[in-house]
Amino acid sequence: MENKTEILRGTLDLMVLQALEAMGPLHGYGIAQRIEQISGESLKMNQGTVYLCLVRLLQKRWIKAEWGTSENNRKARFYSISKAGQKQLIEETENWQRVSGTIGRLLRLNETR
Amino acid sequence: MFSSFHRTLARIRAVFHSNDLDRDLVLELESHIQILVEQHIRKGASREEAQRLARIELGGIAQLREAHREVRALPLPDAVLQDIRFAFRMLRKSPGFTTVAVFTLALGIGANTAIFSLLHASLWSPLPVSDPKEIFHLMRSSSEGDFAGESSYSYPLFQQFSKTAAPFGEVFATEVVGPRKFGLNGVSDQRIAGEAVSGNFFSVLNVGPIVGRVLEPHDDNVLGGNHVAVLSYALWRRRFQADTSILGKTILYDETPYTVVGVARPGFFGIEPGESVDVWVPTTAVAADRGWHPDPNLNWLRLLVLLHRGVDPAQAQAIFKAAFRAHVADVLLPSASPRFKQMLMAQHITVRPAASGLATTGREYEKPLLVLFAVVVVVLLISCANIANLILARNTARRHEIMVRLALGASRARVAWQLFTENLTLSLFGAFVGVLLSVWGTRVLVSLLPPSPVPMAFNLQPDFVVFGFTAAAAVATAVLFGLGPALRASRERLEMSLQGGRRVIASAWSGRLLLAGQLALSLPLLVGAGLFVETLHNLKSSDLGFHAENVVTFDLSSPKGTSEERVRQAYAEIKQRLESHPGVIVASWTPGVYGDGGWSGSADVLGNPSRGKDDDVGLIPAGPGLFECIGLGLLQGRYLNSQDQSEKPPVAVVNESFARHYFGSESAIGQHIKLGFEPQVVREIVGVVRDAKHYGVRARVWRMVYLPVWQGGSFFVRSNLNPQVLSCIIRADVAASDKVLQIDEIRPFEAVVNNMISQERLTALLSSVFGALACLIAAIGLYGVVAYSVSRRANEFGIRMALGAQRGDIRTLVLRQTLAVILSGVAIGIGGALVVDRLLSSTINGMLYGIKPTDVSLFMGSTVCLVGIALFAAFLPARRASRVDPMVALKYE
Repeated sequence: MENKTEILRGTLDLMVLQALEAMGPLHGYGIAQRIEQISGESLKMNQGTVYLCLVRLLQKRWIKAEWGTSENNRKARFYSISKAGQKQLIEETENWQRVSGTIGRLLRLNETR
Repeated sequence: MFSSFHRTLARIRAVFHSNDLDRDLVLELESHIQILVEQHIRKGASREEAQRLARIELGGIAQLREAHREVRALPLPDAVLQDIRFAFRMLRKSPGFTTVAVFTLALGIGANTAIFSLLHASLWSPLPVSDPKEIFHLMRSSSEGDFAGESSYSYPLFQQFSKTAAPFGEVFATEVVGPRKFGLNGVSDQRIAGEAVSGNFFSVLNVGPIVGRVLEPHDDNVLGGNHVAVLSYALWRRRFQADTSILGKTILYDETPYTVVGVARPGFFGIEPGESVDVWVPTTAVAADRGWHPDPNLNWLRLLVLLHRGVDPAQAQAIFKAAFRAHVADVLLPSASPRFKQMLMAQHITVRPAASGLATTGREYEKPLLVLFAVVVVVLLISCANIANLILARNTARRHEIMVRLALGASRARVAWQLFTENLTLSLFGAFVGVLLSVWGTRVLVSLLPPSPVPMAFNLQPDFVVFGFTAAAAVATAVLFGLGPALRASRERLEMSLQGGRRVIASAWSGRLLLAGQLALSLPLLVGAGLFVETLHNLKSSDLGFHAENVVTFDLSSPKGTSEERVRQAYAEIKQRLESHPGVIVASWTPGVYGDGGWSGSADVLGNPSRGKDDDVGLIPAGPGLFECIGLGLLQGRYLNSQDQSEKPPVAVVNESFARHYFGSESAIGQHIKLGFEPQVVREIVGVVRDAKHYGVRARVWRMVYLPVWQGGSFFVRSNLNPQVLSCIIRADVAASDKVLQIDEIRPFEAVVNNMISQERLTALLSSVFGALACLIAAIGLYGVVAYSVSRRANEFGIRMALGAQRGDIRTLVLRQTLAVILSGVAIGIGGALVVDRLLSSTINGMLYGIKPTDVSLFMGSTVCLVGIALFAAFLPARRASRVDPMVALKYE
């Protein structure tokens, strides 16, 4: 349980940024929806956790927030990625790919032996 | 990284907009839930079902809000304030627990603060000067060790050292402080501590005047002396009400007139913590008045040096050593006696840091104070264990509350922190009360120190260092007693306690460990206290060889220039007058019959060359009737009487050791000796007296020669009169004999003797008090824990009794279980006590007296005492357990 949240903290940031980059402004529900779609059953989490991630990203100024109206005419907060966020996303993506590439190779290496 | 900088700023801002941000979050979450609900309804769920599913998907709103608050804001201000408010509320809610905990902590922390502030004031606080680290003490040492406080030098040697040190530092001199008469308008009316200092004293220490000027080099460089004086700020305020018109006036110091030129700045008390000097005069002036100045054989100055920045003290030491050797070879050796030569050759100079001053007074108490410091730290540890136990029990009782908070969304860290805040609040509160106690305690401690001839002036105003120490002690205490229970409580398993409510929890294990620890720590304290008490007892009951009871003593002083003949006649007359009163048995005088210092020399036995010359003979000039007065028993021959004073024929009395050493089995009576200091005089031994310890209980017995020569000194009066009556008689008789003589103080001789062991008395008293305190705290802890577990097990006892157990069985059960804890604690404690015993009797030598190594009876006594106290503490709740009514206990469940 605790380990899972530890992994989440880093990856969730990346996933939220990626979602906003790909889909444009989204509200909290939309972001949660998007993440669930992509990860499917592999990442079980409370949707509320997204809001903890969002406030962190807001405070780091990687995303912006604006009040607007949702599809069902409710007051909702729409989040969009900022310039700094885009830069961060590129950096993090590269970083992630490098790490996952390395780990992938390592695991394959062990398999073949 | 800008992002983390932004985040920190945002978190700080968030603290102040907590409510707005919370409202925003709630809005967002509500619309989130709405969307989810609508979706589920669209899929065909009922409204209630849809709402339930939505809540599950989103997660608990309360937890989210709490977590959101933690992520977006700093954990500090608002949470902490809230915690502190809550802590106060909780502590108020259980006044019993709070009182016991605060009181225990206050005792522990207060005792630590008191001992620490004494150590700090006497040994560790830097001198109130600008560069204390650069100040070093020049000490004369020999292979036998440092002469510490008695390192003194002649004026020519001071000049030599000043010249030598010129390139790398500045040597300055002060006279050994003593109380001297002081007064204004030609009349001395009080005694104050004064110090003769070299002209550069104030400039080297960088101490300036508050009015007028301080002493300057030109004051001290005239032979014959410039009679000017600088007053301390304290004296100026106390005696002259800070009146500036004192400048230019003439004061009397040691019966010599000086012109006041200034007052030193506030807070400067000289270079000896614990002594406060009130007047400074130039060394040359003092020396001239005593006719001492150029004599290279007269050592009366203490020397210190301020080394320039970057100078290596070891290098400076080498240079001083060389200069000392040269001075000895050129000036001292040519005229020295062979034995003196030997002593001089063995001496060298040590440069020792004196950032905290010379601290001779402090050093005397360093060992006992350090031991007591260790003792109070252990007492504090015991208090910590005790409170940790109380808190463990309390947290168990508060389990339900903690569970509810966890269930409502508080993180475990948050709960732990909250509980810790409570403990910290408790500990700081204890520290606050402790400081109040310590202010009072320190004063009591100082009043227990023996009266010193120089007014003691430890700077006992608690300062930042002391407060810092106390605060650190409080926090450390809170960590020690509070962190474990707090973490433990926050780790409780949710499911278990919400269902069960009141189940008996296994805090017993850590509680027992803490109990055993307390007992294990108490035993060494008890044994240590026992060792000190035994030492004091041994010292008190050890035979000094004379009897100090029913004897009073007083010093007489006369103005400068009174002829010796006149004083001598006055002494004889006072003796005669005193002895004429019924009730006064005998009166006599001697320069010193008990205490430090003393007079020693060589003795030659005529017609017995085989024993050769011996330097180790103690000499005491004794007035007529002195032996009868101090009750020194006669073995052979006769005592000295008033006819012997006339010196014809010259006689002497020796002690047992002397007689045995020189004459063996032969009789010493009628033998002739020649003393080193009077080579022309041959004295006949007329009596042999018992051995007496004139130089302190711990000092060895010297070979003594008692001489009927006139040296003045203190009066001793043996009587069976009431002390007050005797005092009046003495004052009247002295006044009637000669008006020039003044009595300083009339004291019981016993008090003088007891003063020599005041350090041991202090150690014994305080270590006993703290040992008892430790036992008391441990006993309270034991009582509390046993009482608590008994109340928790009430229904178990009920069942046992319902099944046929007798009251006695229950009592035995509780006691047996407790006894296991007690015995394991005591077993560890015996190990600790053995270490303490070893430490006290070897490393910290000189603190014990007449103690056998590993005194079995003491160990047995302490152990039995501790086990007894512990059993008694356990017995009360055990008895209560046995009175449990099975019906009530079972119904309750």
